[in-house]
Amino acid sequence: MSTNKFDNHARKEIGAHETPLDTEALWGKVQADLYPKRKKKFAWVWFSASSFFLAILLAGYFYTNKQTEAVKQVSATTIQKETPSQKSNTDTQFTAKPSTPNPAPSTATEKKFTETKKVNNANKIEVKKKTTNTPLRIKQQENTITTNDPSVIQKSNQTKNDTAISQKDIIRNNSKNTIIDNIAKQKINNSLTAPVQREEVEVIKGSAKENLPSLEKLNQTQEQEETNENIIAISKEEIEAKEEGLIAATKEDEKNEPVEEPKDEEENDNDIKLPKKYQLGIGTRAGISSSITTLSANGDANMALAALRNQSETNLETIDLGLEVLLKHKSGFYVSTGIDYLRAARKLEYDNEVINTDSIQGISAIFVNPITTDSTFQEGLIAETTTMTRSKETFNNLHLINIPLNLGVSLNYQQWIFGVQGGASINVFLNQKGEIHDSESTFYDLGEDNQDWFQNRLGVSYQGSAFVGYTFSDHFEIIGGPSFRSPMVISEDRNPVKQSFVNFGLQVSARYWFD
Amino acid sequence: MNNNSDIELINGCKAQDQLFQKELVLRYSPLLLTVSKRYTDSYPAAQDVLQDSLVKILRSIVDYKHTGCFAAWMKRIVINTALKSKSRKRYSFEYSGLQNINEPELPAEAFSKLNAQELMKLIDTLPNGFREVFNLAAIEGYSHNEIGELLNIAPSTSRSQLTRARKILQKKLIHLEKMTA
Repeated sequence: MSTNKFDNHARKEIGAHETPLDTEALWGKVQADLYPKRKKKFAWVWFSASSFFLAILLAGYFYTNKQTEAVKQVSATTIQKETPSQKSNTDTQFTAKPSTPNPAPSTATEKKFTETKKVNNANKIEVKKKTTNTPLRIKQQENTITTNDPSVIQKSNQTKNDTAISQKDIIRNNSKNTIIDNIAKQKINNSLTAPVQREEVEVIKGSAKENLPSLEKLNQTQEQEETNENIIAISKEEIEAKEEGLIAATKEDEKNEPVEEPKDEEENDNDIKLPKKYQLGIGTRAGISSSITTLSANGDANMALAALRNQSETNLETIDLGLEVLLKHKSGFYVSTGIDYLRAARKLEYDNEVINTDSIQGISAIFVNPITTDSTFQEGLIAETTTMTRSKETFNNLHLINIPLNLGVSLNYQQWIFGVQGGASINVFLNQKGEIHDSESTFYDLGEDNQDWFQNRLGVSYQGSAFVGYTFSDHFEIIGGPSFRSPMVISEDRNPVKQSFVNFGLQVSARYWFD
Repeated sequence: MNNNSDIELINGCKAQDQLFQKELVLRYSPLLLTVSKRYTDSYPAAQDVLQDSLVKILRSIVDYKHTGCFAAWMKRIVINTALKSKSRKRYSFEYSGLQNINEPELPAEAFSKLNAQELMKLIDTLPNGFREVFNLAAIEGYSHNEIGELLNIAPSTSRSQLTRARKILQKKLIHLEKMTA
């Protein structure tokens, strides 16, 4: 049989023969070779950064908790020790509300005070004076003038209800009654008791004469009334003088009082701390992220190079550090800007086996004589195979400066802060270093960039982040959370491989807010 | 398995679509394993060669120009991979004295009854160098010049080795024919 028939038969039988095998398992192996898994280094970096951030938050939480407990303990001790002084405060408070129905006394102190007050009420008749332009504090005291004169009583009865109403209004409106006011009132009340009692004696004398039924008596009565009026006028002058003296003394006491005392209503209004409309802040920021780089061929002719670069290059972590200036509205919205340094890193790993075949001079043939078994050597060109293994490992670093403009909002819940922010960045290219493939066996120096493959000005990118934070004081806070940066194209159109990257990461900021 | 045509399969693989890449592996690996087995000494070695070959195929498919048979293109890669993977001594001298030996006549009926597996077993009994040349020349249809380049030997060496391989096979087939008779 001819050799052709044999070859054809063998080709037909063997050429189309298929050997069964586990193709799914084979695909798994091939896939593993084609798409090697990312190294775990990056996961460790992420884990470390997250742990650090969590540790800061927990430390802040426990630190503040401890402080709160300490404050509670101190407060409890203070309340116990200050019980006697509370008694006088209680008295003062009651004095400030003469027309309010007294509740049933629950303590010995309150009971004692209530009894005293009843006695005073029995002897006192309140007279309303012209107090339109008088300060509230004085007005209350001027209303307390004691007398038993019926005419005075009649007049006073007419105005008693008005006085009570006026006092109620005062109490209602003067919700910010201060301790110093109460102390002053108490002192004034106590000091007024004596002169008014003297005055009372004079008024009684006058009212006795009033009962005589004669003109003289009437004249005397008139004189007496004038006298009474004079007495009252004198009394008023005395009262006013005493009040002034007492007020002055009270003010001196105020200065010596160690307790922080509220001021007059007008002054209180000035001291109330209203939230400022805008607040200025500064901050520092650090972030770590994954630069997910996309390499796509610039035309079909460059598909091989793009594939080669995809195979040989891997992403590493990106770091960024920044300074920021913030302006926050009281509503929680803020704008921020600053300057930001970003370094994106990639790694080039290249392993290749190059086989070169050369012809060199050598023994090209050996002839053996079958009879004599003598050998004859023939010199000539023989092939020499050289196998050369090339491997390369290079870190490619891209350095950028970003100028961000962000709009954000932060909401406070107790000491915690929650918020989001987003905005745009102007990206300024600094430089890059490293090497990439420009063919299967040659490399392109990124630092030199002889063919201007990469951009000198990168343009604009967009970023956003969400954060949670903790306020350590009125001014200082630390926040952190996930962040995102939009695709940033760094290659020029002439580059055979279009290169862009996005960032997904975590960032931490420390902020200081000025008053 | 999808019924994508070879062109769709190739384009999908060029776009590095893993679904198409998987389909290619599932569709062609049994055929390519047969090729790999003929150029290796063992089944595990053949599997290793096949795996390496598939990785090369999927990486270099972007260079495929759609000229010629796609299967033949892949077979060539498998053969090259198998031959390069072998760390064996190459023949660096020629048996120029055997060039003029006449082609041996192979037995008529004996081989026609052999199926693919029996043929492959028979071919496997050949010495390494002879087997490679026989496979490349008789089964794949390579010319002696191509075989010379592949095996890094002279075309005349390839020719002589093919002749010797046929002679060995002739003896084996005659022996087989006598056994069956």
